[in-house]
Amino acid sequence: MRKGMETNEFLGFIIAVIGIVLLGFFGVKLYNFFVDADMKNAQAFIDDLSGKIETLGVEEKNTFLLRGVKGWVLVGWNKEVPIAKDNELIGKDRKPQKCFDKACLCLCEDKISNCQDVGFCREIDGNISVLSKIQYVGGNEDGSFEAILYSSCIVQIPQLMDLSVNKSAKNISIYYDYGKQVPEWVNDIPNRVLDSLSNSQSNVGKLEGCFVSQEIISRA
Amino acid sequence: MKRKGELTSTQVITIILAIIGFVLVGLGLYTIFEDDSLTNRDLCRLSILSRATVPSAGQQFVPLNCQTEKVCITVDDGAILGFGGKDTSCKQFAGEKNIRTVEVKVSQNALVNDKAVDTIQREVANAMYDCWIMTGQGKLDIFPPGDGTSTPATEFLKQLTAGVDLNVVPVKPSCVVCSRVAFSDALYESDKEFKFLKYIDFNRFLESQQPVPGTEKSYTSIFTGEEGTGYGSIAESESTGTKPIGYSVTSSNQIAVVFAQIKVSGETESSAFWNAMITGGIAGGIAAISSPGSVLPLPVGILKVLGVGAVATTLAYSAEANTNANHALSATTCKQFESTMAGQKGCSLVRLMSWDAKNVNSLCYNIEGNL
Repeated sequence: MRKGMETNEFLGFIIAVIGIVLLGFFGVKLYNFFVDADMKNAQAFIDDLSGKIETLGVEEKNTFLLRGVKGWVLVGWNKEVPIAKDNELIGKDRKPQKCFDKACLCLCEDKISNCQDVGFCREIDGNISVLSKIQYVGGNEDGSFEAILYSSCIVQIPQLMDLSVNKSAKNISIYYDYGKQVPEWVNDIPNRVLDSLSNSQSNVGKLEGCFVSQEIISRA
Repeated sequence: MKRKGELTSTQVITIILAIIGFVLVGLGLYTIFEDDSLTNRDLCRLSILSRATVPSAGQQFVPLNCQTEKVCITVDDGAILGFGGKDTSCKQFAGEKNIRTVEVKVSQNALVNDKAVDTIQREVANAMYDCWIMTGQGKLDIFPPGDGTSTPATEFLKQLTAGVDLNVVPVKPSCVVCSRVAFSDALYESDKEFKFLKYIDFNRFLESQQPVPGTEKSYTSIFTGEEGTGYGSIAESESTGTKPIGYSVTSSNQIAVVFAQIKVSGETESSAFWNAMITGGIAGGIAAISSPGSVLPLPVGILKVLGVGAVATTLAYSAEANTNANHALSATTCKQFESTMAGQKGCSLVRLMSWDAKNVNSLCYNIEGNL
């Protein structure tokens, strides 16, 4: 009976280990190269936006063209908003722990409750307000109506987004107007209108945790 | 006598060759992924090739690693040894990184200004050419197939055109923004004094100049003239002396070189194929009534293309001659892709357009890459 390994077996083993390590290393590289594009784009988006906000003078406003990252949501929290504790859900009234005691602007994957784990946040000087608007035609048992829907989040679309930024001494506001949308189907649940918009753009961003309000502007 | 465990010469050679092989493969991959000298364009090209060579079903898992090139065209800041210069930066790129600045000299001397005009035109022309080459000259199938379902915009258009048989074609062009070219405030200030921007004519430049010095093929002929196809022509040339910068200028003072691609089914009738191509060309021009994904397949008198073929068509034209917005040239080719599924046809377009959300979004249903 043999005891231990023979030399050539040992060398084969060493080579196999080297091969596996190399394969693993380049496998990870390949994965990052191919799979992380959305993450990179999201990071670039928030870096670009915060960079442009920084360079904007006080009492100035401008419109910045940025390409949205599908499936991501832009949201902001002010300094006084408490951070979400371990068992609390991140939402408009609870900010991620990574924002700590600062006002921050975050771009988060899918929904804002993901901001702590899958989101990029940048510190903001002063108060931050994020607002989006969509005008749509809805309908319910009382008939059709035209309404404007406001949200405290901006669901990203994979197209150019012209974000309006207004900067004052203490406040920074970011605004995006989706324009007038006519969804394929209509009903009176405000969230679903923007969901419909999202779907139309192959987007999976959700408004969970965002403030949403609706203003009826006319009824048929 | 051979001892137990002793390596034979064959085994030694095999081991050495294996180690050399690992090292070579490792170096190759390291070069691809870590080498700083690999430009953004190379990385983009690599990712495009990667995506184009996987089956359609897998394309969505291979993102494009394309970084938009940012070019700031400005004037000499007049600094002496780095001191005393004026601000000549492009404010459009404020807060952004990796900006390439191209400085032109302008003066009372017409020859100097001619050179400045030539430099500006060549920068833009080269950006289009590089984009066209980088994206595979219309031969590569680089965007995942769309779901083909109707969109709200399609429905909206259907409502608008209710009762009229306009054969609305839902198309979803995807885009890569290859370059953004911004013009600084200082450049415009200089133009007030020296009046040189009015001599810029991108289309004429593309028709008359060559991307590779010493060769005969102009930019336009490279975009439009494929040997063997023998057709395709300029539908309308830009001969009105309009100012490409002036009329393209938006609040952003930027133009963009955009690559767009539309896929059409291999079984699609040639008319629909043709319509899809027209869609790519004029979508921006009828943005007021359409949106990405659905346009009226009507050339509206814009195109006067000779010898339209069913298999492959190449043309260049002023896509939006009937609008006051964007007269810049588009180079389009429609053909069967060489890279993936047999029978998969599509139209590819490289286009100069003003950098404006409404304008770009009217052409691009989906933008990939990093701006």
